[in-house]
Amino acid sequence: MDKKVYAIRMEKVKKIIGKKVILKEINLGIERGTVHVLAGPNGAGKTTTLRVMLGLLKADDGRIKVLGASPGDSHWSKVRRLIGYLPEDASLYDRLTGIENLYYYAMLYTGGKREEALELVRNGAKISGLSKNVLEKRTGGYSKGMKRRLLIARTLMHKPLLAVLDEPTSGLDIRSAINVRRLLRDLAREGSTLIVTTHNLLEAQYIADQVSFIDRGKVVCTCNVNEALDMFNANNLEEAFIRATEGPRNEH
Amino acid sequence: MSIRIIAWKEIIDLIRDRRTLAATVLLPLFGMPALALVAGALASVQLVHVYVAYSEVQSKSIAEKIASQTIIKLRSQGLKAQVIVGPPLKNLTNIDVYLLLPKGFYENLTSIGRPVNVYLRVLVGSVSASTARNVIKGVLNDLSWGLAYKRVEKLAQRANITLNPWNVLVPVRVIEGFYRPGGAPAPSTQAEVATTARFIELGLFFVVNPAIVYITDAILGEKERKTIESLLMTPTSTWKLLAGKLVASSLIGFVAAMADTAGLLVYFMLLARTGLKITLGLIALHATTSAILVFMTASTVIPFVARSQSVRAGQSIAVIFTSLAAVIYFAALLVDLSKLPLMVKVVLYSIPFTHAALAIHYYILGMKLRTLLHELIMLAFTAASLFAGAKTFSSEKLILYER
Repeated sequence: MDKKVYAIRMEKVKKIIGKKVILKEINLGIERGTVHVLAGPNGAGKTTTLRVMLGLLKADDGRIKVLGASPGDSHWSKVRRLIGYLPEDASLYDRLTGIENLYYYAMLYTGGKREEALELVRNGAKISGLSKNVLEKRTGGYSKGMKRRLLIARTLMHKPLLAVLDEPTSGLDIRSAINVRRLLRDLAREGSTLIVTTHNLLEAQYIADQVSFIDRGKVVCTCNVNEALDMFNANNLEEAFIRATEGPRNEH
Repeated sequence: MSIRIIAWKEIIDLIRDRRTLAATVLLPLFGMPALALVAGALASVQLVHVYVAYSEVQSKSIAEKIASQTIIKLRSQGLKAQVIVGPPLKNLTNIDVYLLLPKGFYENLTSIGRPVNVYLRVLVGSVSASTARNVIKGVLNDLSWGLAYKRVEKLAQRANITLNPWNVLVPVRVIEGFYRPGGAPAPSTQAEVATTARFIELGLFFVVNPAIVYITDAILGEKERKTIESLLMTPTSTWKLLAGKLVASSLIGFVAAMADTAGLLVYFMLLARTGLKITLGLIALHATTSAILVFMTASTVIPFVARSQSVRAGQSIAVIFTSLAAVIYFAALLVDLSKLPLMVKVVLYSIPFTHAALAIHYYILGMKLRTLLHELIMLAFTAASLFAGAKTFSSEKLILYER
């Protein structure tokens, strides 16, 4: 009997957009308190998997459980309070300052409790690593890296039980990327579950407890990093990924 | 609480968008007065050329009298005029209106039974010529009445009859009065205010447009600026999200509506000589109706915009709604919406915009309960649309791009 405690379970999940089958069959079990990396080529279905998992897109078939609830359940909005989600192409409100951007989300997460929200803002400001002076400026003038740092801070400031980050380090300089990886590891150590998609498999090797390779709308394999290296007789995750996804391809 | 937070963010976002803000407040505030001022200013710098020709020396003094009357009347309309009196011209170049008092004019004028012909030539396609033509016709009309009066007076003297010449000239007098739908008498000023109200109903169109633009941007702008996905993952419920955006869009729309009201007021003040009258009650009603209309318009658009996959699709919906409003408010200027056949009424009453026009229409008729009823119908449309918007909301449509 499987005694693992899962933050997320997806069974035979299928998603069709228009006439195109984007997810053929996603089976995924992500344990609580782990950092799980979803890896796969462009168009493999990583982002759609995340969106379906979080209820932003409706699955056409299959079962999904996220922190014990299914998207669309009556108490789903309460579950959303426990989740932090950073979409790949997420953006900030350019006419709001950095602080205001954090405050807006903090108020939405705390249901308008000002003191709690301000605490989250303080935490977010710390995570972002941006100076007070920068945070008091409108984000329209921020560099791409600064925006990304603030977005990550906004996603993690309420210490979510489940953080879902789509390419979190894209656009960050090396130092900031290292800081983010460290932050993700710290968060996992505190008990949060993290799901991260990335193209950077060396980064994945550094942060992941487990990795799932997605290819053409299917999970090809889910295993520990070391297991993956052994299974595919690879020196690193990049090699393992190439071997896992080898075979005839029909590009869309 | 979430509604307030969402509204707060929308308002901050919009207040800092100076161009949009300027277009929101300054355009309606100064747009209509500027229209009146520019039209008046252009007309005042435009020179109208009138030539009054006399064929005989005896007619000269009458030609001069016609010329001076014409100048006075054209000036009273804010027009600059150059009126020349002289002998007949062969070439009418640079003349807007040419009036010829022909040979025999004076003799016929001083006779008792002969008609007095004059010839009026008007330049085609000229607005100033058309205005001058009407003015000169008015002056000639006065001359004609004066002449008729004298002729009747002379005839009465010859017949040795004592009479008031006006009783011969205008034997039928119309004594006009107005009444309300219930039969109670209405002062003539109410009829004038009713005319103004029709223009105000047309002015409601300017209120509709900003509300549609703001709510479309508030919802689809999140998609365009790539902020929608994160927002939908916050614990805020769909209806709170939509309600927050509705409140913010309505507040900004209301500011635009107030600016519109102020602009309208100044417009009427500038055009006071047209006889349009406005009252404090009508201004207050316009403001109230505008506020509800803004709220209703924004909420009515929500179910459609929230299901649009692209900003372009949302804008197309906005254009359809704006056009629908334009049709209703233009129709209100020309027809009595309350007096149409039942089938037409059923169709029109199902369009939310109609009720704003009807609220003002019934207020003018003194039927305040009906006004209240139509304001309430607008609020009902608001609630129903918000409910429909929340129920049919599709995050999938907002997230995915058209394929």
